[in-house]
Amino acid sequence: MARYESCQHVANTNMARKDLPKSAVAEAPVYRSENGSVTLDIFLNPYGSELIGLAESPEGEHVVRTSFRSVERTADGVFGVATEPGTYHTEFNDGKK
Amino acid sequence: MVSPKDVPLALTLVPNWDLTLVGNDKDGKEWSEQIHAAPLRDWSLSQNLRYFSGHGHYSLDVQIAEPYLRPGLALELDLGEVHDVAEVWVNNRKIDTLLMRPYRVDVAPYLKAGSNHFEIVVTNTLRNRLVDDGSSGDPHFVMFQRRVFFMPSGMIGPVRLLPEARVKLP
Repeated sequence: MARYESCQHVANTNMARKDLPKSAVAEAPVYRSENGSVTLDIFLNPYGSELIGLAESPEGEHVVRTSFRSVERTADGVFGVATEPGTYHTEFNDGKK
Repeated sequence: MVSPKDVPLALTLVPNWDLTLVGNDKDGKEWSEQIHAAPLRDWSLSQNLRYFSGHGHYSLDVQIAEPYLRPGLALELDLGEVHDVAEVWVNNRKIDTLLMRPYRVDVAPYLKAGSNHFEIVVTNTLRNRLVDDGSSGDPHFVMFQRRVFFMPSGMIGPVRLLPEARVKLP
């Protein structure tokens, strides 16, 4: 699996990911925001693609680093997706682990 | 909820599936061919199948153990590389039609402990058939005589079952 890093110079930004097969837009809850710059890690399967949308809004609680394959935010909270047995680590923007 | 420590390992399904190809001959009559334990391979690389356009019915029986069926555990069927459309059936129930990568669908709700029957119906485009029509002199498809290349076709895989546990973060 390749790892790509995208850096966008925008302030107070929320990230959104679009799931093309399901035509669903989901918030991207893992990114880092520093000095007006937002960094988003994107994991693509072979031939995979993601459409990233940017929208200005107050910065909310989000994950800045994780060893989960992905993180999902639902009405029930934030979930890490574990795909193999092991111990996973996550760090939020407020330093909570 | 399944603990991350208890997520079972991914399963790679054997690369040999029973395959029934169903299409139409030049006169429009239905044509079919059965291949037992066919390796997952691009149809357009086979001398016999490179001109084939139609449906390929892949079937396989898979043993699923209890640890893969725990409540709260998703089991994504990942078909790998497919050309072009895949209809997924599990235990004679249609689950989904997949049009593009990733060719993945959660099949956990449709599985049972023990033997499970998987059937994947893959349909390719008409192009390879039109290349055949063009190269055999059909004046309607003469444009394909000048551009003889074949589109990849069929299920190439690897086909895997990928467990996914969702862990609530604090």
